[in-house]
Amino acid sequence: MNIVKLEMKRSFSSFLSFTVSMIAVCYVFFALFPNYAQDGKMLEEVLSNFPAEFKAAFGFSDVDLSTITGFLSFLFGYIVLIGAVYGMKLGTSLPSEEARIKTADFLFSKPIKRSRILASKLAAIGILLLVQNVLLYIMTLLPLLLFLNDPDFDVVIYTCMSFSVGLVQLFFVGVGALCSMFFKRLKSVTPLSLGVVFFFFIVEMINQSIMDKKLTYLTPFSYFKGADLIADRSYDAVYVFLVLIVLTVTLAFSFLLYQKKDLPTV
Amino acid sequence: MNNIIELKDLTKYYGKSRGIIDVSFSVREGEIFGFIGPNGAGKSTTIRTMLGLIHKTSGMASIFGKDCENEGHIIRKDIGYLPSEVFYYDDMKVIDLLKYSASFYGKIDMDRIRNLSSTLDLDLSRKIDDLSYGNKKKVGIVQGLIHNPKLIILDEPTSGLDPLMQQKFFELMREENKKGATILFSSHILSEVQKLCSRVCIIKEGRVIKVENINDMINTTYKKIRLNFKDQIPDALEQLDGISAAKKNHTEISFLYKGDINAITHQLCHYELQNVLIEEPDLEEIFLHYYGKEDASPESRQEQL
Repeated sequence: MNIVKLEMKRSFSSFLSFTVSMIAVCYVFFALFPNYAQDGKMLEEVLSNFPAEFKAAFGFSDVDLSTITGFLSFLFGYIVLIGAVYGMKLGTSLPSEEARIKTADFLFSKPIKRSRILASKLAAIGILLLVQNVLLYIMTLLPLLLFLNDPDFDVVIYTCMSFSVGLVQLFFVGVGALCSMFFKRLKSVTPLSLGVVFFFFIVEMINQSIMDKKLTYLTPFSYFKGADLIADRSYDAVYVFLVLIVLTVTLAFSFLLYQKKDLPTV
Repeated sequence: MNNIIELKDLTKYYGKSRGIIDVSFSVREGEIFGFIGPNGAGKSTTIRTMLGLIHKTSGMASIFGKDCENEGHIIRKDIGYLPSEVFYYDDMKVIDLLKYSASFYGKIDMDRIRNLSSTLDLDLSRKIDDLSYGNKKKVGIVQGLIHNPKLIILDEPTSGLDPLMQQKFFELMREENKKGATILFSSHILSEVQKLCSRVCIIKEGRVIKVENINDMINTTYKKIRLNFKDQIPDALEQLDGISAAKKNHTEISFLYKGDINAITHQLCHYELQNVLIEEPDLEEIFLHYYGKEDASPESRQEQL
């Protein structure tokens, strides 16, 4: 419990900046929506000049930006991206942080198993992501309901969109933890986090452009697309399972590898 | 007396590079055991293997009769460890770090924290980040002692402490030892080991060279002998058993002698001497001798002395 508490405390500032920026980006887009809705026709004309692949890659093609759900699905393509970077950062730090700040000798000479330490840190990550997703959901839902008052707004679809951030984050927590196992000591987690997340994001862009169903399984950014959520009003269970399987397998490997790992000398 | 620490043929390779090879020694309950060797000899590797921070390649390491690898988390309840380089969470206050450290051992004893800190002149309200290296070291000492450990493992504890503080630290260690704590004291500074320890293990290039009682080592076994001859130094002298580290200079020879003192005095009465000096060598000299001859293998060196 003491580790969970300290982890939460130490993660607070980066938690705050990621959460606030996600909500702030939403607010900026919300403020822009009335203009989009009005000039929907004009926007379509502008977009029609772009090549189809380009539109597809950036998420313009399969949704109607002049409707609120279409607009939100476009927006959440990018909110998920920000969330994914945060998830990956947490995942990468999970086994590597203590070695990076050289406190491993202190913590791991305490009377506690390595697996307990990792589990505690994992619990802290779980709490942080849960709080972040609930905050994001509530803080964005309120203005949508109070100020926008659009009859087309569908709370069920929005709930799916908002919590897809958390699902994608879980994928990256696992991937991040496993990736960091292959480094003796990570000097900084940011380059690795950004690199891996953008790799998957680019795979998604390619996937959008060439519409190959097989690629869809490769990148979590394809799992919970706005267009699909709008059509189904729920998640595709296959992808939810896929996220959970990836999370379980990557974490299991990370735990196993971590048991065997030599902590670097400071 | 029980053995608190027991190492048998403990070996650790980092990939292909050597850490330690076949390290064996045992530390008895209640003793202050010195662990001495130059930088890179494998002192920290041995200690970190005992604490489960790194994994042995082969051999056996046990503390309190329990295996260091499988039951590490149980063993570590009764160990206080001070690493050679101290790093803590920079954004924490000293008091919060100490409380956090104590929280791993059950109830937090605030009186103990205050007592130890005042002994070492440690300001509890400061941030770790603002502390000098010496002060961080003090944090390390306090966090290692809060829970009244049965075994205290110190890895080069005095680096960064000023002489006055070193003195206080040694007193503190003697007190803890009187209360029943066993201490493993790793260092490359001989005089401090000499001051504190009862037995010492000497390690070089990953191998244990010798485990010896420190009094035997200094007082009884070794003599430093300097002889001044009228004429030439007789060749026969150097052939004598038990002579090592001989240094010749014209008519003067000095060496370390191990063995029956009568054997050498009988031998010396055959020669015309101008002066003779027999004294206790300090550990430094014995030590230099162990490490001085790079070409000799550890085994042959052991025989020499």
